[in-house]
Amino acid sequence: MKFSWWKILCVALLAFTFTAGLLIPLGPGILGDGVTPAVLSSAAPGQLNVRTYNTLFVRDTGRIVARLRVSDDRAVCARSVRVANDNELDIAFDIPPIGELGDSSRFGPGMASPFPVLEIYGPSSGLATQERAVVLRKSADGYTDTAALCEATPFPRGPRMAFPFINLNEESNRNLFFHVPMWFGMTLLMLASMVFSVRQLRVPSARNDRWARSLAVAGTLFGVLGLITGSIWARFTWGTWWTVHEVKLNAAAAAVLVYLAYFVLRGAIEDEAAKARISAVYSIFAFVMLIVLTFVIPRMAPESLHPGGKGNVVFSQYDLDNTMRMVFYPAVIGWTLLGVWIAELNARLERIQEAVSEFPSDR
Amino acid sequence: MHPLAQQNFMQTFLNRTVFFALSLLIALPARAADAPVDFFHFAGKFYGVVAVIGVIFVGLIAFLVWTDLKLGRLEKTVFSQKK
Repeated sequence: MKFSWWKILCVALLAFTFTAGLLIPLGPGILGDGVTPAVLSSAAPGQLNVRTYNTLFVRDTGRIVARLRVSDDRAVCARSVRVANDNELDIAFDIPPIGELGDSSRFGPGMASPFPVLEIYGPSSGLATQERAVVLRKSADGYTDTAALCEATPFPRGPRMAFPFINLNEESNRNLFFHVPMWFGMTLLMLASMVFSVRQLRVPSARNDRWARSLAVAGTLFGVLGLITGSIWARFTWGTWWTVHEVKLNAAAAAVLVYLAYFVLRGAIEDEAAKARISAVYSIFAFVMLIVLTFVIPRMAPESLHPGGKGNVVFSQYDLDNTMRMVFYPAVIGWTLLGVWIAELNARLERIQEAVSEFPSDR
Repeated sequence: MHPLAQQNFMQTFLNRTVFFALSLLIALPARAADAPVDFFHFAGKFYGVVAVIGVIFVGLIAFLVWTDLKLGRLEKTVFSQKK
């Protein structure tokens, strides 16, 4: 094996990604369908049965704080909390008259208020929250008894290292370290392929053409893997393998098709010099299309099922906390280096084939 | 930079990177061991998935290393014959 420190780095980073990405537990959370009943009325007592995930309520008995936050700084604090088991609570509230949830001026048209936010904290469990946990019927006259609300002081940080619990995703959230780096890797590999294509046009050489093609092969492989991992994830979270209404899915599939057409084009041209030149030109346009399809068009879409649909194409600030970043960035580097490794092997194999084809036929 | 100095620099960089990655590999699962009961309730299914993914990962890396070595040998043979 050629001396390559980056290959060892690639294996180390991916080993870290697999180990940390799969074995660090999820933080505490409230299950998506875990709050019953779904509706509470203000100016009346109410009781909630809450089912949670990764909590230690038995150990926290007597020290659990539960509240229904109705604005940034005010909440309805629980009258009593009964622990059924480690992952189930019965919470009783005396809900005062509430006329308005949160500061309505903060939420523009089409933006849902997160309130009421159900928050449950235990010293051993940490903080489990759920936005819009229940529908809170407001008082008829719009009056809010602020004196009966408690102050929503922030809870301390959880006691253990954990990935954030996201209702819809649950354990499948770990796919973030596999699915998203595939797209990052694909973009970087295609960028490198385009650079070699530009070099090919400036200084034609078999080496530039070989690397441009090999990097495109690895990039397309990552694109296909990105589609497969995304489709599996969609099945778990959205209940369908594919949805035609999601712009990102269609645009990503189109981007992969653009690169598949690159290989069709190469296969259709006999003359080696013409093949290298024409495919280099195509590769440059294909990369521009990749950027348009995966970064520009999704931004223009009004709605997206993907995280960050209304802002950053890739992530919003809430989708990736620091614990996930600690695994995610090494994963991006590791997967990209793996792609470069595959491309290098492909380029070397092609170089050997070219050398063999130049041998005299009697040998 | 002198080639020897460059090689030393690369070696040091490599050693530190591998050491850092291995330290994280050991440290993170150790912290994860403080997980609540629920995670281990899931364990029956979850560790099966982890094992399958682990086997795929090891197999992929082994295949790449094997291919790399084989290509190295081929390159040696082909290009020495060409000369």
